[in-house]
Amino acid sequence: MKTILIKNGHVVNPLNRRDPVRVADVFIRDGKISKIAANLDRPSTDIIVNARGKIVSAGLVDMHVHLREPGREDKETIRTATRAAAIGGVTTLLGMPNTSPVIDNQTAVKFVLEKGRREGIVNVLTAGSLTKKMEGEELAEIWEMREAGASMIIDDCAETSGMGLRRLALKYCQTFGMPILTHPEDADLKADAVMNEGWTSTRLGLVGSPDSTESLVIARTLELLREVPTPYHFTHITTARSVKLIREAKKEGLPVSCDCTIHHICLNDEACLNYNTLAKVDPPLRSEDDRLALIEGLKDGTIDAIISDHAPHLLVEKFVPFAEAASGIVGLETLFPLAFTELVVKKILTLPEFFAKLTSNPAEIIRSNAGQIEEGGIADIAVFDTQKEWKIDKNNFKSKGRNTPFDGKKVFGRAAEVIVGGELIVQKGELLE
Amino acid sequence: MKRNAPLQLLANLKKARSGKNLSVLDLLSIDDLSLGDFELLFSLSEVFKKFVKRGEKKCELLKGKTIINFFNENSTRTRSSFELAGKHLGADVINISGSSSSGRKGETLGDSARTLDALNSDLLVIRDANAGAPFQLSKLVRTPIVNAGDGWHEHPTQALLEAFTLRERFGQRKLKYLFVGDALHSRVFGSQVRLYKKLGYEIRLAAPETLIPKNVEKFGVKVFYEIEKALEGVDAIHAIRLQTERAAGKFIATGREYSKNYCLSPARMTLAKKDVAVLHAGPVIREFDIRTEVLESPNCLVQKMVENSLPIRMAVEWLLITNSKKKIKPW
Repeated sequence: MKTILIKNGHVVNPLNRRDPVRVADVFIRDGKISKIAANLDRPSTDIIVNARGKIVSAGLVDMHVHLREPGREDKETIRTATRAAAIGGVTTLLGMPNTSPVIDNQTAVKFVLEKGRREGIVNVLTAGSLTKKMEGEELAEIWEMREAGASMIIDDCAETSGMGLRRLALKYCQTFGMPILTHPEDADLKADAVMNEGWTSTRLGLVGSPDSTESLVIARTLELLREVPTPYHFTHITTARSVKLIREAKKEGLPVSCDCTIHHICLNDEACLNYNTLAKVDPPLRSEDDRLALIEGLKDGTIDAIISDHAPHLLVEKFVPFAEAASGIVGLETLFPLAFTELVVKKILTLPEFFAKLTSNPAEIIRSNAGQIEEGGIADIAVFDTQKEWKIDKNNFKSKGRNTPFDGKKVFGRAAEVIVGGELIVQKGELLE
Repeated sequence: MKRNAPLQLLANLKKARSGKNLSVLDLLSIDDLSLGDFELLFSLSEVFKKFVKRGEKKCELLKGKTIINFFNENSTRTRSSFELAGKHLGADVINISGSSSSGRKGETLGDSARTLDALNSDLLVIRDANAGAPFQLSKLVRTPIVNAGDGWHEHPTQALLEAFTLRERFGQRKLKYLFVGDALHSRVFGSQVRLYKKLGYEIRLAAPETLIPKNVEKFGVKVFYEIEKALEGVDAIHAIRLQTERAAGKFIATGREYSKNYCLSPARMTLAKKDVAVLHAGPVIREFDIRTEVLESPNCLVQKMVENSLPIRMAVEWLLITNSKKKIKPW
């Protein structure tokens, strides 16, 4: 394995409380970070990366990705998704289990992890489903999935009101120490909604879902967690009310965490005006007040992580009336530039705060040892060039998906070099293959 | 004298139009129209109305032009009114009705519209169950598009013909106007509320909370739960039909209870001005939306609205097809 020396970068390590940003060299040998120090002299290094003026951090950890494989390889595969991730500086991703078939047993978990090792170029992790076939009726074999390597369990019962089974499921996961993640959305309140309920939906004549669609599930779950205090993560929260509920729950000491997507940070529901199906997403883009509440939640630490919720679709699925269009946005390749532009360039988060939400925090939630840049640790590293402004072009995506409302947007921040397990996989912004 | 009717029509139209065009190439939403557009449409409609009323309805203004009514949702009155308007103008009109779901046959709605575009049609009149469908299609085709109703969103010509009817009755006064009933599921409401806001009307809505769109006050609407309080001083009342075909039934307990609270009954009408205009976009559900006594009273302008649907749609069709600006071929 080749040795790599990253010279003169601004090394950002949110876990290093005393010195979270410093100019230093990073030396990588045998897949590990061997040394981080200023002015390292390693004359026989195989690859030297000049990172002057650039940011060197742990590779990003995206804890919410729809890989589409198995089942919808026409939309995305593990091969293409991991290449998109690499270009985006994401070195570890967590796949969601709503594939076909559903990831609800050890064989399916092994399939995804094995395929990730063979065909992927970044670390592929997977979540498993709480119930068989995500039907919300019978518990899936959670212990076996854990043994096979599943990182988390998706509480797919949260959408329905079957509280009895849910309470048992929480206890079952608590037994095996499996962290749980949920998509808080009440199916009955959501009903036929295709966007946020508000002035925009009224103007467009589209059915909207109220804020309570989300906050109701969170409130209900918090009540259960008071009795069954097991680690629980709310994914892609969107409303001011949800931020408030989770902020209070954290103060109370409940074992909860949450994330929000990059598109909910950047856009509000007015992006749907003119029936822009590219802005149709689940959960829906909310009001400007909600967007600002998310930013507040990121600042005060209520929101732990930022995700892409990468959801590739075929173009034809967006090329139809709004109500019939598929929901989702591709995001692996735009996560970093959008987040950096919105949160760091606009001075909302400091560099360590920002990188914590994209590396160490999500890694901690999914109990992975990724997301750290420490001597002796695994060398998953990204070097970001944040000086040059560039324009997002969906036609350059490595993902099969082109469904983004951000095409043509000018942004700052791009992965120049990406290293996974000590191997250089992206150099000068291009895949090395 | 009678033989010269078309010639005279042409002269009157020329005078009323005086070289003007609509400010839009498609008629998709009242949002896009200016006060000047309303003036142009209303003055041309007056001319067309006189012409139609004289009995000799056919002229050759749009001879050799093709109008396609592309209706993906059930409609009788709107479709036949557009069809008749086109035929009066001498255009060839055909009707195509698809299934309500664009994907049912595997072809997207966009591809269907592009097919019609490639047949060199001169106007597409589109009705679709999906809000926004005409807007999305307008980006894909060269042919001008008229939105003849899209989901819960808008139905601009229906609003225009009612505004025209009110103008005949009240002139250009800024009216106090009351909607009663299911605003949530009504595309006619969607267009009217935009139009009357632009015309400076004072707009009220009386309905149960379950049938009121979120943030409707941003349209400049004052909301009442009790129709009795809303009736005071209004010049016009529009009863909105409960859109039971859009599953509005579950938004109220029973039709009986609804009509007890919101039906335009003779007793309620005594609370309004004597010359108040009663309006409805049809089809009327008697004794539910409006009591027969009120429907057949001189206050009721429902038949006038149907009559006015022709001249308004003739004006729309003529203006869009003969617009001197053309859309750029999008493909």
